Amino acid sequence: MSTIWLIANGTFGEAMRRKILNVFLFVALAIIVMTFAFTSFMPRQELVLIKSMGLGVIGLAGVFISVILGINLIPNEIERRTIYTILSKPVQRSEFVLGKFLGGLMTVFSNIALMGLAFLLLIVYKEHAINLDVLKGILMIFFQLMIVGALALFFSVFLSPFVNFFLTFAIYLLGSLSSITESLAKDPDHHKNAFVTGFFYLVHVVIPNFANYNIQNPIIHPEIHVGKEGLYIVQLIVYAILYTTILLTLAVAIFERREV
Amino acid sequence: MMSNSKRQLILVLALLLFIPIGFLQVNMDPTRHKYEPDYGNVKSAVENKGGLPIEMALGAFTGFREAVAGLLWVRTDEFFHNGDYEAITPMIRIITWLDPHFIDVYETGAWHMDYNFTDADQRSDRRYIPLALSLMREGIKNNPDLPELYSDLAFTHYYRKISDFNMSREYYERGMKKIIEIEADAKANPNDANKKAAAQQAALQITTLGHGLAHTYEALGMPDEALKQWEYCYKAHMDNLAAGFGGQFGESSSAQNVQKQIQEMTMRRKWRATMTQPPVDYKFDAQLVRVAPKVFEMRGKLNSIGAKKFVLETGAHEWGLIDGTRIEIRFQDADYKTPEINNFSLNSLSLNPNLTIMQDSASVRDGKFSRKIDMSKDPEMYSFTAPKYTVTMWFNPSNHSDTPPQVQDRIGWRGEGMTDSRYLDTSGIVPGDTSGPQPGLRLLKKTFTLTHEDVMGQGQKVFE
Amino acid sequence: MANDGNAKAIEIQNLVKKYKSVVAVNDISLDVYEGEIFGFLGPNGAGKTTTIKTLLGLIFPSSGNVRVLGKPAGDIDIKLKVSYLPESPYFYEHMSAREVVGFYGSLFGLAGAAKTKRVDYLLDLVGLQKDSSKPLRAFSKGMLQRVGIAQALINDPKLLFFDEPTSGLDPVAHRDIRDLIVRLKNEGRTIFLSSHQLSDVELVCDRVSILNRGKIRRLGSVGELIAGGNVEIIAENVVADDDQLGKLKALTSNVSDVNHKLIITTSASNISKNNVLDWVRANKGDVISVTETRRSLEDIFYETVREGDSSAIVSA
Repeated sequence: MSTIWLIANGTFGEAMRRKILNVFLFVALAIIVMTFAFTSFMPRQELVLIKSMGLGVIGLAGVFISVILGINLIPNEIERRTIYTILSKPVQRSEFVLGKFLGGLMTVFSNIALMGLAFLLLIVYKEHAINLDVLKGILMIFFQLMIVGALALFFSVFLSPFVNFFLTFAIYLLGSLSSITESLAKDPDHHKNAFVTGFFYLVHVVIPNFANYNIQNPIIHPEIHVGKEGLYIVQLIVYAILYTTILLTLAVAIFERREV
Repeated sequence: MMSNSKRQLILVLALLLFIPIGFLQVNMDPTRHKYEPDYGNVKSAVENKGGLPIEMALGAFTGFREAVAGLLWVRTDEFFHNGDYEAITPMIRIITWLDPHFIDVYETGAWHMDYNFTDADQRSDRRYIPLALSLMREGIKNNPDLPELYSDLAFTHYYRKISDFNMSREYYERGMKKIIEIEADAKANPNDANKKAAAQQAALQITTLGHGLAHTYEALGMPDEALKQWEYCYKAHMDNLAAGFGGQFGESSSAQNVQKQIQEMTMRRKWRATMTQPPVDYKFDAQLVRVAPKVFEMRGKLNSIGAKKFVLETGAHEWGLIDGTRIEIRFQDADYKTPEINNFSLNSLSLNPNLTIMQDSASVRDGKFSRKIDMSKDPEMYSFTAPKYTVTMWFNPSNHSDTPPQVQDRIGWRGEGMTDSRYLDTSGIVPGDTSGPQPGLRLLKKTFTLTHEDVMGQGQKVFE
Repeated sequence: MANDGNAKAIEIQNLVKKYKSVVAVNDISLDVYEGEIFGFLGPNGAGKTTTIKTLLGLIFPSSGNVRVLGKPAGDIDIKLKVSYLPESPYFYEHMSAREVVGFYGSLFGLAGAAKTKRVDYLLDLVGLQKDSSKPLRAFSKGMLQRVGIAQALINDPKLLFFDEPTSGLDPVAHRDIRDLIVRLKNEGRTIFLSSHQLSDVELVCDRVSILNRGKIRRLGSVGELIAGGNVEIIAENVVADDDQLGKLKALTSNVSDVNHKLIITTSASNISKNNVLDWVRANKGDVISVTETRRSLEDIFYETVREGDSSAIVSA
């Protein structure tokens, strides 16, 4: 564990200094602040826009950060040959992969936390009250990004960053559209063809379901309450942990035989 | 290095984890749907020409759908201010698909459709009414726990727009039931902050929803139920005051207002039981005059007797002709009946360009009314392509905006104290309503049937 | 050298490493003994780094066997006693030299005062004490190389793999590192040195192998490899007809005529030397000089590489 922690720390320190990530962070912060330019509407509409834009921007910037980070964590070490000095030390390959992931996750968390904090302060300024619901939304964004990052890292052990970038994004989009795949699976028109139905059902159940994590609606509309929200949030966290476990285990198993 | 067999075991174990993943997903789906828009429809909106701009569509399918809905709503507001009405309705449709919990959009959107798309003389385009009703019903379906939506549909649309008191009552009662449910639920779960907040919010709906139901009972000629409802409201206001809900001033003035309503209602119920009989002949008559093609004048007489003086406390009164009653007129294609739209798709927004409906009213002064109605300035709204038209003029004693209370003091809540040798109509059907007969309602109604030639012809022509 | 008494630090048996269509290492066998500096030579693409990576468990043999310190390559226990300095090493740029070396120390479980002490010692050893707090981003290539050496020594290794340790260094640094390598050997460590710097190898290595196109072409002590030079014989006044010249050419092909002097080069063995001298005398010539020319490792290296090239052409 201490080895994983050491590698995570090294990764985190280096990632936090990478300019490309800072670009996303600053752009996101700028957009969040700019959202507050929507002041010409009724207060309720204004808050709807601000909250929705804010959470959306944090989520999207987070996806970019997670993907850019995830696809490069391991290939960068190989390209710069730092991996040689590390793997020739008493470091298990699994420890290396998990350490890299943990370091990346810490980076994503810090970025999300920073954007979230800025967003929360702006909401406090606007609503004159601390809105803890917003934190729920940000937390769910983080768990969503945990899967995104694990996915990018998983592909990075056997694909080039370039291919990986598009593949991870494609799966992110597909997973975000899971309502569509689900409705296709349940579409009565398709019931005649068991293969098609089964395929869409499989896609719905197997592709990481990023759409699950869009829980901002009741946050944006405080008058809406969704039943069993607590249970759902717990399920979302369990889902993220399970899915990340699968991806990391596969990544480790593949990386064990990877030539560096 | 990991041995091959260990590695294979780990791979198998990882893949086996997909079973709980799938299980979890299926378990989560029902809850998830509560957070989501109707993607099937959003997709069709994206595919539909003139629907969602592509950049917005992209946002709609990622984490930005409420933002997209919000931005579209802002844009819709611009359309309204620029008078670009045709663009508004698809926007409303798409926004509420994207964000089914955007309450403002249902309320404001349906209000736009029912009231704000008008001809040159500020008469609303009644082709939109079925859509507005459908949108509101959908809003309620998607947000069944918000009493204000029931109240809005009941009042703004059924009560005020089409005088369909049956439907108004139905939605008010459902809303009332919801308030009671929410309050009971909060009481059963005293530690749930969300439920407590919802109960507080619901309790404050008494002013609109509770009062509205009482008025609807009056309009339906049910004074006992109306009184009971007013008493309920009074108690609810006092409870709110005690609990410190809402502004103290608002609740206490509401309570005072309700108290006044209870007093008046109690007295009126007592006096009207005797004062309204025997029925008085209102001697309704109406003529329709074509002034020019598509330009008509409605005119006629109504012997609108009511209480010129009336002392509530003693019942002392003096009858006389009262100004301020209104005669409604509806000019429509002969076979048109307000349809019920259950699935409000984007396609249902393409209004039938060949359908003509016009509704207006004229006020009665000194027992006479007359009003010029010019439908020639809006050929898009009034296309006059049908071969035959029905024109109905009627007097509705149950409708507060057509019948002042002092007139009702003579003829009762439903016209039970009113008769007419020629035009009394006891079918209970108000032209243009959606729910069929309103029990016990007595209207004065005169119907004309016009041909296409009658509408388009040159020169003056009088229809009797 | 008397290596037979020492244990084997590295055993390579019939190692083959294939990438899709390329055979990077083609059936090499090699033993390195404890306590020696083994020079691993070869041009770029010869398969040197591939072999080292295989020994470190970074890549896996297509066939054949490698053992390091008696255990299979990549075994986590060996890694405690082994270290690796890659060619042009790169480290986390945001860290200082002290942090980087400390980071690697932590990977070996070093902590607290013991870690500080070891890091200080190593930074002093490689001459970076003064710059130890600067971030590596500001370091020159030579300074990075010193950091690389410090990290390689963090675990007091028994066996060191150095891949081009002196490339890109200024002459002073170059000599420092060469001295350090000798010192490490004197401390009883085994060093596997892959290098282009033939003069270094010649000076410090006990044994050398020359790798080309995936095969070992030469293997032995430096003395053995460079033994067997040439002799240059210069003679005057030689009177020889074509028949006699033909006889000379049969002895050696390396004959030239400069200013009426014959310059004859032949191998340094006594037989061929005497044969040539006999021929000069038989043709009434005066021997002006007999010079033995000793070969350098460089000659051997290029000779080996050229052989490899021609054999490649033949086999193609």
